[in-house]
Amino acid sequence: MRLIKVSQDPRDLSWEQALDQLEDDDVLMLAPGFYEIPFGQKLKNIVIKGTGTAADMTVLVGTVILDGRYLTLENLAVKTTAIAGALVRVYEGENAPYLTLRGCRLEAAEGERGTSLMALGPVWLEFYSCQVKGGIRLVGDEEQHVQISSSEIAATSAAFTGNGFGPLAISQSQIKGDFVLEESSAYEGHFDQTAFDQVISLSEGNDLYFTESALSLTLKNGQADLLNCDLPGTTLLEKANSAAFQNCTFKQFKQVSGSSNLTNCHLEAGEIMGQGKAFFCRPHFSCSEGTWLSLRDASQVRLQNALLNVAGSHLRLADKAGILGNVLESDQDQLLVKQTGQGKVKLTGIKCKLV
Amino acid sequence: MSKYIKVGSGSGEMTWHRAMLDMEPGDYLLLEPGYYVWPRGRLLEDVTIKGLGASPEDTRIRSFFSIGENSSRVVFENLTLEPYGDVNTLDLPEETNSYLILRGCVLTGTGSKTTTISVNGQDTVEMYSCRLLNGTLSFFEKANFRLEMADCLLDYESEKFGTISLEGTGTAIINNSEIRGTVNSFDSSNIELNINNSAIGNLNLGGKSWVNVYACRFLNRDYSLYARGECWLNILESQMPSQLAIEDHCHLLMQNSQLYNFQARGESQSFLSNVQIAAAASLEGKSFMDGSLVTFSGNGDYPYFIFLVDQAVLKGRNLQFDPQNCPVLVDNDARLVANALYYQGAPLEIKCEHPENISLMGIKWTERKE
Repeated sequence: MRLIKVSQDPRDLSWEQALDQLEDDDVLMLAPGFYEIPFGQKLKNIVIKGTGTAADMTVLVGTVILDGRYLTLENLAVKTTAIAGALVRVYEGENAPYLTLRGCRLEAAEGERGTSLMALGPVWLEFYSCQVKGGIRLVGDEEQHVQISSSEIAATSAAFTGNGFGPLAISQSQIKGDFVLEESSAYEGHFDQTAFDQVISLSEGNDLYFTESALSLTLKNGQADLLNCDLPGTTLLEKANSAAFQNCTFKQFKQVSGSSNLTNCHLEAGEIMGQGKAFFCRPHFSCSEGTWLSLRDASQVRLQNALLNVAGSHLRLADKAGILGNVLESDQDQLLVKQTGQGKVKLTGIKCKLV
Repeated sequence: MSKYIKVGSGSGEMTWHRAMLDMEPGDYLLLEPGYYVWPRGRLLEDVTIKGLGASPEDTRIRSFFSIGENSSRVVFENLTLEPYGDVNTLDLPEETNSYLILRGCVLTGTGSKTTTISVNGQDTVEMYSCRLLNGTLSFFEKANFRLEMADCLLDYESEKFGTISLEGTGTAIINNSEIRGTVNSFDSSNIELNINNSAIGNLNLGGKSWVNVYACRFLNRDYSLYARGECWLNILESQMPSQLAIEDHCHLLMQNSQLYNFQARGESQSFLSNVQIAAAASLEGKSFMDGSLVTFSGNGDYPYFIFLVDQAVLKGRNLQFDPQNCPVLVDNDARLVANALYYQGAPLEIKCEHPENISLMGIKWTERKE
């Protein structure tokens, strides 16, 4: 390992000299300032550190191209000039390369509207305490390991898109913009204490586990398991997926098909349709107008020990949709049911009044 | 075909005894709140166990859990796991090659040398939003491991046992967690340890430990970090309220951090940038320090606020000195070569054997006579 200081000081190397003499495992210590990355310059198997007291004091301008086993950037800002993104991987070696950013700011040429990072093929991507403006795109249906912690990614459209497979671990972070797992993807995602705008899974190969997170979830396909989460928008489940929610709070729960299990959950309103099967164990519905639960098509719902706070709203059933179960406690003596179909309604613990 | 087995006393639910008889690899075991005892000797193989309570304490299982060699994935969620007696709560023997995933769980230990989670095989342990109370997490010599931890609390402090022990070969990633005791690695260890945005009692490292610490707070008042062997340490944006000591062939890179006391011995090399040392810096043996924008302060706790002996070398640029009436010692063949930032106070007092070994620019100094 060589420690190379880069600055204007004549005792140190200049940026150009340092780039000319790079060897594997070098650590470049950059004095605060702006450093332009020459066009086509590839960086491999080195660590680049900003030595300022904040990341913004040391700025790399240009396109960082990782072309080796690893590249680590610490305590600096990267401002890309390329539309494709700040960091592009073109490594063809045996093992997937590591790209690690600690305490960095990464900004796309077009800011939050642009792409800040594009990774081609397999990669290990690690972001610790970083701020990213612009989306991250993982291209290729290959193994991709992603670790994001204490970071913020902000993009006006997709903050993250991936169509590969492998583990995604995101903790204590904020993802502003859509988090999209594309149609051929097969990730196992563990998300802890993270705030997402919108999580979209399009592939049945995705297994997503959330704890203590806030998100809007669109599960067009795939499996999800949420524990102690807040879902302030609309939660949409489609296709033949399974989903488990425990101790979660929903604004709007909508299930088009597939099966779901909800335990100890608070809901304002639910809607189940198609072939959807939902099992609510100790749910707490709290709704003051409209429909607290709407069932259509051939959907089937089972309630176990439901708590209802639904004065002013009703249960709606249409087509062949059916519901059975028991109500443990309600703020009403009788439950208003609007039924237009032939489905079975069998609820114990409360009287049902058809309207 | 995996099946969901719901255990409780409600309609459609199964008894615990029946569930234990029916359970097969791949099944999901959903437990209504209550207290359960896992059968002794029953191995865990490819099973997911979930507590259905509002908190992990609502559903408790007592056992000595051992993962079988055919298992590839065991998941615990929203549960409290307790040991039978003075045994491991969770054991992954040498022949295992499995994932162990804990989400929203509480594990209680025995507060003794018996480790709470014991890993000996080729295993991946993932812990999210968990609490490990009065117990330890140990990866032993034969282990080839990966540890992933986020939002966890390990509340156990012991002078004898590490709260997390990393022996063997592997990678540990600790994010946003609080570990109130020691994280250990050993002379035989070959590990990578990444700790991010966490509070750690202290680190006691040996062997080949590649360590990255970012935005961490150390808690222990006796020492914050001690490294020997061939450790490679990269520390950024961190606070150490007590001593940092390195020796042997350790390499240290430290940036934008504060520490109380620095000690280097052996042939260790350290590179410090934007670091404040509050009480004293001591270099012995053939240790070498290269500092840039490092503030050396004295506070009277040590007789010298910079202590260089043997063949130690302190080289620096733009250093700041704040002696608070403490002198510097440059003894034996040690050398001090540096330039100082603007300094207004009284000249530095340096006790030295060979004044020619001192080259200090930008600051006046006088030789201290006893």
